[in-house]
Amino acid sequence: MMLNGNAVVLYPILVLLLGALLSYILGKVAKRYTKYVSGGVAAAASSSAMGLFLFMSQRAAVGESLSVSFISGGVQFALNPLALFLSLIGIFHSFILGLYSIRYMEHETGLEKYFALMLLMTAGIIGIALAQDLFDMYVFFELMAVASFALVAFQKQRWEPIEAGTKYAIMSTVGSIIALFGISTIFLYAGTLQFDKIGAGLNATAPGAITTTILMAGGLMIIGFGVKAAVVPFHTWLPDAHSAAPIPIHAFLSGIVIQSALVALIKAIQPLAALGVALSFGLTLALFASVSMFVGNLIALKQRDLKRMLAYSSIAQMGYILLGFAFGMGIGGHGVELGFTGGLYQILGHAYMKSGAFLCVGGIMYAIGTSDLEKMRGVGRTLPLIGLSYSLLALALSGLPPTVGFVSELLICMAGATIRGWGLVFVVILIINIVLSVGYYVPTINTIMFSQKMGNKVKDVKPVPRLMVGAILLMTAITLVLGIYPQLGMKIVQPAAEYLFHLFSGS
Amino acid sequence: MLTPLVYAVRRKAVAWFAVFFALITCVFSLLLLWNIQSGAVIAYDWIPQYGISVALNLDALGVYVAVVAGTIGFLVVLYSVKYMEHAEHEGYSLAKYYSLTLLFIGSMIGLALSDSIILVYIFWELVGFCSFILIAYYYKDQRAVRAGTKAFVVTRIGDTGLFVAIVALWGSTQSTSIAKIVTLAPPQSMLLALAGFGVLLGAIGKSAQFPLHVWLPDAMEAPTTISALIHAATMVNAGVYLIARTYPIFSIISWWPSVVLIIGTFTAFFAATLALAERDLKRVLAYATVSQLGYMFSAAGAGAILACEFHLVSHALFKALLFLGAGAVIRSVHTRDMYEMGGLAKHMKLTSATFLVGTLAATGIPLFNGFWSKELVLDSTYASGYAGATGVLVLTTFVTAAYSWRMYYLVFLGKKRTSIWAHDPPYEMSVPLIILSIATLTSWLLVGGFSSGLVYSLSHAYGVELLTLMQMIETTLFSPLVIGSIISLIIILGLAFGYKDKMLQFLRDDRGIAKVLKRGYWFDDLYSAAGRGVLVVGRTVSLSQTGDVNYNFAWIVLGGIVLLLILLLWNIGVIV
Repeated sequence: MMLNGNAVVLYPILVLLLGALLSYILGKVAKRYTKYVSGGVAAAASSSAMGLFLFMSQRAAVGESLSVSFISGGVQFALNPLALFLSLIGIFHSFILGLYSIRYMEHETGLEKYFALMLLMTAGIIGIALAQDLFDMYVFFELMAVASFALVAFQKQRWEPIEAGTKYAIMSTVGSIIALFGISTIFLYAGTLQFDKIGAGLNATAPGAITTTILMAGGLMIIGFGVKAAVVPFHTWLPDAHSAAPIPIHAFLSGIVIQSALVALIKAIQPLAALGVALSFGLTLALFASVSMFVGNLIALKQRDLKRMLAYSSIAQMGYILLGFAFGMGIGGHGVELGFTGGLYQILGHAYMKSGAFLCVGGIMYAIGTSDLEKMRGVGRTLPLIGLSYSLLALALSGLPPTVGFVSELLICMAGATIRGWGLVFVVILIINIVLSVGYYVPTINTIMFSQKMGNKVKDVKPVPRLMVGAILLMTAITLVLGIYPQLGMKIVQPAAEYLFHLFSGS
Repeated sequence: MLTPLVYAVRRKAVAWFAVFFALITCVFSLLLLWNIQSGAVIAYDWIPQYGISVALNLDALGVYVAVVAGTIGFLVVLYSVKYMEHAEHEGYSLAKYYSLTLLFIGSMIGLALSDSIILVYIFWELVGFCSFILIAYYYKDQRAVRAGTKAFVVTRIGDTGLFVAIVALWGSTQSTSIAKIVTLAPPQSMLLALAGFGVLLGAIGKSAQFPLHVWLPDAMEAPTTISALIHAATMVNAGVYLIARTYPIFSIISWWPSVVLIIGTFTAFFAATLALAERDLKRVLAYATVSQLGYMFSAAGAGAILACEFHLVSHALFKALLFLGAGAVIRSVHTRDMYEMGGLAKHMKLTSATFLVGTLAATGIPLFNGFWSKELVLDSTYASGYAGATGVLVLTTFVTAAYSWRMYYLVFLGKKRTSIWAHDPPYEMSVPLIILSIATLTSWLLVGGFSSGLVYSLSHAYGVELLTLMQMIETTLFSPLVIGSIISLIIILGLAFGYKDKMLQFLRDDRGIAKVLKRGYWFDDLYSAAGRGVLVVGRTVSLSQTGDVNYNFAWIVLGGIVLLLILLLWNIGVIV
């Protein structure tokens, strides 16, 4: 096997895989201290991977090429701004959620598997980010998916997670097969799967047959990856699977895993878009985004369980992100970079807002053992820090300034207004949905903070460990900081958006 | 504005600490009067990659609003020291109260001074948020929580309009600076019309104009000090301020000014009629506020920025006075129901005297500031050729007189209907009352400086002209409209006083028009029906979520087919 280029690109993945192995073995050996040993290893692996990425981004800044290929160029990994963006968020999540899990999951057995799987999932995300060809991206996509099935069904003593996990696995697999079908169609016509060569390959081999077949291949990949990204109507697994998972995993899935699937989708159709079909993909995605927003928000309105409500709101938020990307690709005209910026900023912001909100729910469940809104009435008064954080995060999710939710929604809308025409129609749809979403976030704040009668479980609260509260406060702080001082987030968002925009506009 | 510091201080000190900060804020805002400038002053690159920056603007339009917020804010915080004393014994946090109030004052000043429409929006939401939490301050009372939520949700619907406006203005000018957009003067287009509509919607929501007026009367569940500060003197003015601020941008849209004027006029009349039959003292004042804001809208729609802003300041002063007076009454007799008050003038001399000043100003009796500013509004609408609207507004002044005097009569005159021993408030509360009464009596004398500040700092696009005190007196006193309306006002008041018992009885009964008025023309019922409608849609949509894997696959297949069809049809050119 010949390695060409800078192997440092692969180190983060290797570190995480090694970490997964060590975390499992050492955790198994440590017996009584499993949660600390495994969790510690997980945290260490994540932080060293994070360190590697920061190191690489510095090297990239001074102009060093960071790509590696082997099997004579068939397999390629490279660090580009988009990869850096996704990886940093993914790793940060695995670090924070790992620490949070140490206390949250303390009563579970088999924690060594839990942390190992979490690291595998993170490795999958990074693989998706770094891969430069369709097949490798698909492999890491499956790594992420398989790890997440196991994690959803982790609390195997109850029936609900098993059912949800199985359902999730079946549906996700069908999605993968459809995506694979699209990928093989591309290979048939292009003779290569490398992102930067597919376009030329398609042009060379079958100039006449491009459009219909290529659109179909692209469509199949949208469906395939769309199942995993929970784009309506491929979303039906999400509410069950997410709310059956342990809270930190729920946060992980909603915070970054489905977004990684969306990035995979974008990366997959990008080479086709460069052939000039970007515009039709743009409008199609925008239509599906609108449906996602409406379905997610409308169903969330009637949920009584906080976990499920937030799961449905994730579907809506995915719609916002997808709409931003669609604006970036262009809807019946040329796209704008601002669209990608908005979409990516929404990914960044959502990762902290939504995960933070889930961690609050986790804190509440730790203390009173339920996520039913009726039963947690007034819990914010017995757990003031968590209640306050939840209120702030929920307001951020509903797009209230000065939080990160506002910035990203503003950017997406501005992109739409710059496009005009169809763009304005979709902006109006987005804004209607923002209003709808206020209709369920604000009542939950009322229930938690101001409710007159106390839920029957609120009387005997268990104190929430400091480690968990700390993670919640960190998420809340990030949500506020990114809203007040967006330049901080722009440092990683803007280069990634610029990169995507150049790819899609073919320059 | 340094609210978090307040948390550090506990118990009794917290109130005086807040007073101290409010005083500093007040002094600083007054200093701004000497710093009125034209053009944006401080700019800061918020997201430089896309040229989005935020800036402050120290022109007179904003500074006046900021000064109102600073001074009335200070007086209200001073008043709160005694008024809110009881809250602590009942288990409510005073630290929360004062820090949110200070945050509110700071945000309101920020809103008034912002040049960037994004910054306006941020502060706009912050004041809305403070208002929400403060309305729901007595959270043990479920009505307060419901009112807070209602206020938040209704105003958020309006705020969405402002959000639309930001986006549309960005789409048409690639700028978020109001001053810059005014100088660019974008030509009429779909986007501009959308922005105009958005600003209007935002302003209607915040200033509780028809048809989004429903939140303000319910917001009276807030502590009375908060009603005085937020729901009378400052936050509700934000909408009017925004209309005035953006007037030059949208005045070229043919329908925009007249729609503003029509909404304002209609609301002024509509809300005044609602105030007639209310039995809750604070709700009467709330409807009165909505009505007065309608006057300001009318002035803005007629293009009279000076009249609009001048009435804004006058109204802020006398309405804060009325609310604080009402607070003193409520604190003393422990009810807000006017039918349980009466004859309080004997026992609360100072309060009744200051309340009388406020009522006189509200009814537009000469020599009080309300008279002069209201006449300016009437003059301006008449001068811009909206004779019909002027007629309605004049008619409204009679209704205003009727409900104001009904209120004064029920509370302070007549037989005493309560057994509680009523008394004047302590000096922390009476000092603000006295200061506000003096201001109500005299603020109109400053019109010369007021208008010159506006002329000096605003661009010509606003069309403000210098108006000295003498000019104002001359035009007002020799206007046939004014003289006619004063004479008829006196006649009608005389008649009304003669038949007062019958009329009061009619309004008290639950019959005919009085019943309609008490239901607020069924607007609440309409909106809750709409809310239920959305929930039904939600329930219907959620039927698609069966949890059955077979159905899930059906969805995937169906969605997939649709998606592929769209792409295919596109390709063969069916969809363009």
